[in-house]
Amino acid sequence: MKNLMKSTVVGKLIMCILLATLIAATGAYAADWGNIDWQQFAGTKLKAINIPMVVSDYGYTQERLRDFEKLTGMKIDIELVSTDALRQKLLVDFAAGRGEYDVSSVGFASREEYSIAGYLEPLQKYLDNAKLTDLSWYNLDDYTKPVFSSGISSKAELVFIPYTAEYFLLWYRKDIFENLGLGVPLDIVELRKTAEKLDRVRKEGRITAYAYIDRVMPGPGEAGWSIFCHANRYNAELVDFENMISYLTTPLAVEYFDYYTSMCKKYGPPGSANWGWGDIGVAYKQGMLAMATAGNASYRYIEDKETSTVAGKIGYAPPPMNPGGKDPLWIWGWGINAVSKAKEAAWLFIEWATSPPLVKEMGPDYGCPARKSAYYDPLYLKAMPGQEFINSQLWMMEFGVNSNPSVLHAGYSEPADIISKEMSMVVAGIKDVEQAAEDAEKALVEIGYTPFQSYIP
Amino acid sequence: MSSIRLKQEKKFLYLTIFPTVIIIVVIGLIPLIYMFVLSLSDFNLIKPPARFVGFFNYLHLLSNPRYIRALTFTIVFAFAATILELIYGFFVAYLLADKEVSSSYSSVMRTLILLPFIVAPVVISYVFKTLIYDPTFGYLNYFLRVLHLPAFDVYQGSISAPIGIFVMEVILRTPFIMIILYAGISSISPSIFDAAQIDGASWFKQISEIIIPVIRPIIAVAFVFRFMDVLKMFDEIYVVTHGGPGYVTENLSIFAVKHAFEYFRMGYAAAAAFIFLVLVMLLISPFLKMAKFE
Repeated sequence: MKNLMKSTVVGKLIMCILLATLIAATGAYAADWGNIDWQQFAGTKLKAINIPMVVSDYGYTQERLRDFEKLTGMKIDIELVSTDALRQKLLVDFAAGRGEYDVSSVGFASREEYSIAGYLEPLQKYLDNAKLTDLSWYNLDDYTKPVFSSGISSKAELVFIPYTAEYFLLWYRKDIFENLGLGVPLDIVELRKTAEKLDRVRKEGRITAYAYIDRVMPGPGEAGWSIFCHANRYNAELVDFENMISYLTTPLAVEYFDYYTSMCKKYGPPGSANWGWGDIGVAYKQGMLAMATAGNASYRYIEDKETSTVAGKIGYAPPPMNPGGKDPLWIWGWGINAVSKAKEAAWLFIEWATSPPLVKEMGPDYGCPARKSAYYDPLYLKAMPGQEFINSQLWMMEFGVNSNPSVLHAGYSEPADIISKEMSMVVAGIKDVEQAAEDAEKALVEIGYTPFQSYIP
Repeated sequence: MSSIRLKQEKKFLYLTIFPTVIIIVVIGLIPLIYMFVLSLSDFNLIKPPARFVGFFNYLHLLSNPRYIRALTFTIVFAFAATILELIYGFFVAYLLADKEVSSSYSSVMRTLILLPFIVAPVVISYVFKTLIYDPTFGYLNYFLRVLHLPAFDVYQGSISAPIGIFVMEVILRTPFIMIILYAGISSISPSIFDAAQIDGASWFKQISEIIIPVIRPIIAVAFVFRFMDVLKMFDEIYVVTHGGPGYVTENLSIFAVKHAFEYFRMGYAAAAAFIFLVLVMLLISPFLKMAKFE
């Protein structure tokens, strides 16, 4: 009897401790989510769209989305489609005014396409609404100015909240560089010299990796984007989209085109004349490349020990730039469809998806969080490939990016496609650079552009 | 009494055809009319709303060198590929239908030849892109290296890409023509060939005087189907070259898709597609007449 009483008391004590722990934990959880009523739209169903990438695969996991559903009592369904399909589906949905997707993942380059036509809901009023946003907890100061302002359209409206901050980095093979005593190239001249040296060494049979490659596959999202980003780093203007002026045949543009195409033609692996980002990633993982300029967001893919032969051997540095050159920032952010029937509920999802605790929690899983504080989290530091990777990202975030590059224009796609097609012909040996630049300019004139030489302001 | 029955039968016929007519109108005619209306506007998904521009898109297309280039490539490629497939398919069908060839051997060969035709074009296109044409991993270049021959890079020069697409197209699509012509040749009574042989007709005479005249409508049908298909070709080019290098392999389908879903110029793309539709109808009508369909 005494034993029975004793065990009952111990059992009750354990129950009390568990209960107290649970209450404390719940309290802490609630405190982490600011001072708003997350349940105010309980029962609402939201539909969102995104693309498959590291952050969607490892950041916004099903487990975390279920946490959101528990917190808010809402349901969220995120459809993942390819980058091209995302743009196509969203524009068709926007133009049809159906509001199929309440929340959409907006790529930086599409911001103007969507916002000029009024397809995206301005978000400032949701930030200013105390019922919906606890500003002191949401802490907008945690974003650097270039990163946050990337969500502000040319109509001065905040149309998306960033959740990734992506930059081009120079990926280089540390083992090869160390063996050959090479330094990391800091500018365009050094990049070319390093590529020349690596190419010479490869031809001598001392290494098997090809020196360098960039995207050559025509298209606005492939070579088009690389060509324009490189031009920003080169500090060469190619097209003024706003005033529809073509600079393609100016001496600086031709010099730049010659640089871009010759780097790909001379130093790229065989068959790379039609490579897009996917091909470059695969080649890099297989040890075929010594250098590439590629996005920081892909580190997890090339550092995967199971599939990459070069995991742990990669160095990361800011991409080489000419004086005055900067890299166009790349951001993925969440925006609300202007005709969504559940805009306030959609805002709660965005607030959750870009909130300090969630971004901090997800940071180690996807590497390029948009919030600064996430970069100093011990778990993040431990998960990244190295301090060099983090430092390069932080440097780019503060100094290396242009948050309002000229490529950010609704009219970007067609000229970018035209230029990338002409440059792919140079790499394929069909045309010389001058001819390709002239032909690209002629094609731009066809769609209403004016050559710089005959432009009268 | 019989006229009442005839009327009833006629009514029944119309009634049974009615659902099909509705489906054709809904999925064929209405989109076609909508496409034409769209082609008269400057509808751009990025710059709404659309404005009526009359035939401006048509006039602009016909003076657009990129469109003319794509149009020329489409027609030349379609004629060349269909003719080669027809010749190649005819001889394979003729050999397989030969009475000297055992039926089991013929059926095994037919199955093997049909394999590339059965597999989805996108899959086969990726196989060609990565396993055959790729300069590093492809079998083609592996054998060329073994034979100390220069490598074949489908993305170098202005002729490699069209050749690469052309060879792939012929290998993939000849089985379709082969199987149709095989059925035609097999349907000719063996006694006719026996009589021709007794009269001393050579194999060439047998082909030109017996087989071709007898199966002419079948040849015309095979040609029309393949020709229409090659004119509309999309998957293979999109996967292997994406229309490149530059514009070298850009045909009208790629042109229209790019303008519709990359530049979002829906009105312009609709006009390009409408011209294409008229063109296909004009190009195939002589062959349909040849097959005495009209």
